[in-house]
Parts: sequence; structure tokens; C-alpha cells
Amino acid sequence: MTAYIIAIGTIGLIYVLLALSLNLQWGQTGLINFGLVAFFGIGAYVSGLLAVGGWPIPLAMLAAVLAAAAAAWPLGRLTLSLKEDYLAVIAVGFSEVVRSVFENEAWLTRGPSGLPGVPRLYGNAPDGLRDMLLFMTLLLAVIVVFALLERLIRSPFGRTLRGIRDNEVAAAALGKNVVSFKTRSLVLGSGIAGLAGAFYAHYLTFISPEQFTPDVTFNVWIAVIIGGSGRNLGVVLGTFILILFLEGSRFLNDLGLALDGSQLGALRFIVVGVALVLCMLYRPAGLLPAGGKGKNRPC
Amino acid sequence: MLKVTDIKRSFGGLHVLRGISLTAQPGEILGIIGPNGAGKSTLFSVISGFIPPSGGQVELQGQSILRLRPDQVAARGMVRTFQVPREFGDMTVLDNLRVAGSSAHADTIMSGMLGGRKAREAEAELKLKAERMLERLNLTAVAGNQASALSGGQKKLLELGRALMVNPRVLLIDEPFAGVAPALRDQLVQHLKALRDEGLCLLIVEHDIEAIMELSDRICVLVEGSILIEGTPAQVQNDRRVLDAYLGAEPA
Repeated sequence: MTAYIIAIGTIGLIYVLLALSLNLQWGQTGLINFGLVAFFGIGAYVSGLLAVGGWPIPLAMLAAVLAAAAAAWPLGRLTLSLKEDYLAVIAVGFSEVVRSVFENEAWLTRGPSGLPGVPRLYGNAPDGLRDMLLFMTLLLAVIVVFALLERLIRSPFGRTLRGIRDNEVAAAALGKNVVSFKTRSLVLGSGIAGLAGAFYAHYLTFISPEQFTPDVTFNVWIAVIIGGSGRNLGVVLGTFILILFLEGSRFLNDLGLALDGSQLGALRFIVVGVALVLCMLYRPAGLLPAGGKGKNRPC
Repeated sequence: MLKVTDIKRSFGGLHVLRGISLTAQPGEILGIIGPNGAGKSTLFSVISGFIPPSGGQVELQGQSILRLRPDQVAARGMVRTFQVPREFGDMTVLDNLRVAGSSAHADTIMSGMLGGRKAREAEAELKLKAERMLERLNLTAVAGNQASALSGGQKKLLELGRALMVNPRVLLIDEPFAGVAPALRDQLVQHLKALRDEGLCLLIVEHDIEAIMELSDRICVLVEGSILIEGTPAQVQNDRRVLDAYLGAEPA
């Protein structure tokens, strides 16, 4: 049972990193990033491939963060200077392009069958301890990222991001280089998503293109919306609720439902969908909205 | 201070600005009036870098600012406000001012995450400056309120305060009195006069003729994208052409 809780906790914390990333981009800056999974995938593949190639894992993970951040920069420069929400459309396309690169550039990524044998973090530690150590390391990383983002949000930089989110034209008129601020937010968030990907690769030891479909992006969006976009504590809560729904449906069969795997998968979608609709009806600003009061910012 | 030369702008075949030239000096209020559709707001958008002109020149303190982005124009010391207030709605009134007042160079991710004593000092200084501005504009009581919940007049005051946080030398103010309750209107007039007396250069687009006549040192009347007449309020008020343009009276 402990092993199971640690396993869920590990996946949960990886999703927390993704949700924190999206909360910086959407909650603070108003960027509609429908391509979050691309940066998660780049992080996983870069760290996985480098480690398979003999790099020490910490170095490979650092490279993964930098690679994911670097991939976001041209995307930001290209789309964020355009008016309206071109990022939304282009990012989702970008994430599909990235996935098809994983699938088709077999010389590099081993193609659709995936990349096996990614070294595990703390691979030399004894069985029970190994997962615990990884979990603790991940938890530490989440705490550090959380604390740094909280500081950032309260800093002048964070305020300017929210100003841009609320009224981009006014921010420009007051001397803020809107494209630059938005790009920096996108790049930083993508670096965090890359870190999540690196942990994912060194936890599962096997990565394949089908793990990086747009579902991941939209699950994270749901977590952020349920939790309350704009507030980091809210999106952490939202992530745990999401994981509870996704994982909890596993136990439905224990309650006497006899469902096969695909039926369970479908049920999961239904449960998460209903939760999202209920949330929009009764807590439109999320469970722990920014600013304390139940504000209703359309999403 | 500000020199605008022969600015033209057309949208498709529509000539919105047909060669506008004007100058404005420190310590002066230049009123810009004209019927709806005369091109007043477009003129502001061109001067402040939001819309590129089809031709002409804009110089601020002797340097062309024609190819600069709006944020670069603001950094050079010319800030505009908007006809319809564009407050940062989900943020507090105080934070609206603090966004405007922080220096874009110092606002980096690094200093935000790791900033030490220096960043804290800059932050404290900024807060003090913002609080002084709130006091000056009589907004202290609503400092912690969400900006979207302010009244129309308070939003206009907030816009003015936000612009002033940038330490501008030239202010372009688009319809300061639109949607402002009479009680606040007089306050706003006093604020604008005080700013002029402090040496700022103000360009004000306004439909409230009475207020603009009282405020302005000079007035430009814009009609169909051209300057019909420029002069002191008294000269403009007595000009037959102005009455015609506004009231559509029979040709003289």
C-alpha cells in the first residue's frame, strides 16, 4: 500500500509541476498554452536520451530543463507578437509536431515503440528505498519551484505579468514590452514543464510518444481550472483532485462494478468532465481562487 | 517638446488624418477638440506608437519617435491614457500604480525570484511612491479595492495616476471627463492644472467644451482629419467655422 501511495504521489507531484507551469503562463500571464505537453515531452526525451547515452542523470535533467525552455523561445517570439490568441492554436500544433518527431525520427528516439532502459533516479539504491528517495527528491524540487514562483508572483515581474493579463494595451502604453514579458513567462513555464518531463523519464524508465498526447495538456488545464487559476496553492489542490479522480476510478470495480479497461477509461473522462462542469457552475473561479473572493474570470 | 509634422493616416481609402502638424511645450495644455470621427483618438494612437502613420514625422525632444513601439515611446517620457479606461481590472488600485511605476529593466525573473536587499528597497520605495500618488488623487480609501469595481470617475483618476507613475514629460489624455460625475470633474480639472504648473506638457482630447476652454492654453480644432483652426480658447470660441463644424449650421 505504501508503495502504491508513493507511486501515485510521484505522478501527482509531476503533475503539480506541470500545473505550476501552466499557472504561471495562464493564471498569471493569460497565455493560452494548449501545447504544454510538448515541453513535458521534450524534457522527458532529452533527459532520457542523454542519460541513456551515458550522461549523469542530474546533468541530463538540467539539459532537459534548458532544452524545453529553449524550445519555447522561438514559439513565443513567433506567436506572441501577433494579436489575439494565436499561441493557443500554434502551441497545440507544435505539441503534435513534437510528438510526431518522437514517433518518426527513430534514429534518435527509437520511434513509436518508445525508449526503454532510461536509467532510474537512485537506480543503485535498494528496491523499497529507491522510490522513496525519488519521491523525496521530487517533493523537494516541487517545494523549491513553488517557493520561487511565489516570490516571483509577488515581485514587480509578477505584477507586470498580471497587468499584461488584465490589459495588454494599457501595459504597453505604460512602458512594458509586452512580447518580451510574455515570452519570458512562456520560457520559464516551459522549463518547469521540462523538469517535470525529466522526472517522469527517470521514474518510469520507459518513455514513448503515446505518453505525450494532448490529453496531458488538457488534464493539466482541468487541474488549474478546478483549483483556481492564478493561485499556486489552488492549482496544487486541483492537481490532487484530478489525480484522485483519475486514479480513484481504478477502485470502482471493488465497489461491484464490472468494467473492463476501456470502459474504465471512458468512465474516467465522464467523471472528470462532470467535475469540471460542476466546478464551472458552482465555483467558476476554482476552489481556491486568486484574491480570496470567488471572482469570475472567464476561461 | 513634442513636434508633430504633417501626419497622415488612411485606412483603406479612408483618410482619417490628412496632414496634421502641431507642437506642444512644457507647462502647456493643448486642447484638441472636434466632432466625432474627426481623427482625435487616431492622432493619439499615431503619436504614441500604437498605429504607424502613412506619412509625416513625430519628434519628442528633437528626436524622431516614429518607429518606436508604444512601450519605447513611454520610456522616452510620453504616456497616453485611453478614452475608455483600461484599468488592470483584477488587480488592486495600489497594484495598478505599482505595475506602472516599476522599471522595466529591473523587472527580471532573476531579481523577482532571488532579489535581496536591493530589490526589497526598490519595492519599498515604489510602494511609497504609489501611496503618495493615491493620496494626491484622493484614492487612498480604495487602495485595496479591485480596480474593475471603481466608478467611472475613479477609473479616470487611476488612469491618470498610473500614467504619472511612469514620470512622463508629455501626457496624452483621451477624454478625461467622459463618464465622470460632476463632483470628480472639478477635482480632475484641478489635477490637470496642477500638472501643467509643474511643467508637464499635456495634450487633451475632450468633448466637454466648457471644461476644455477653461483648461487649455491653446486649442486645436480637428475636422475630418485636418486642423481647422488653432488658437487661444477665446479665438476658437468666436470662430464661425468652429460653430459650423460642430452644429452643422448653414454655410457662411
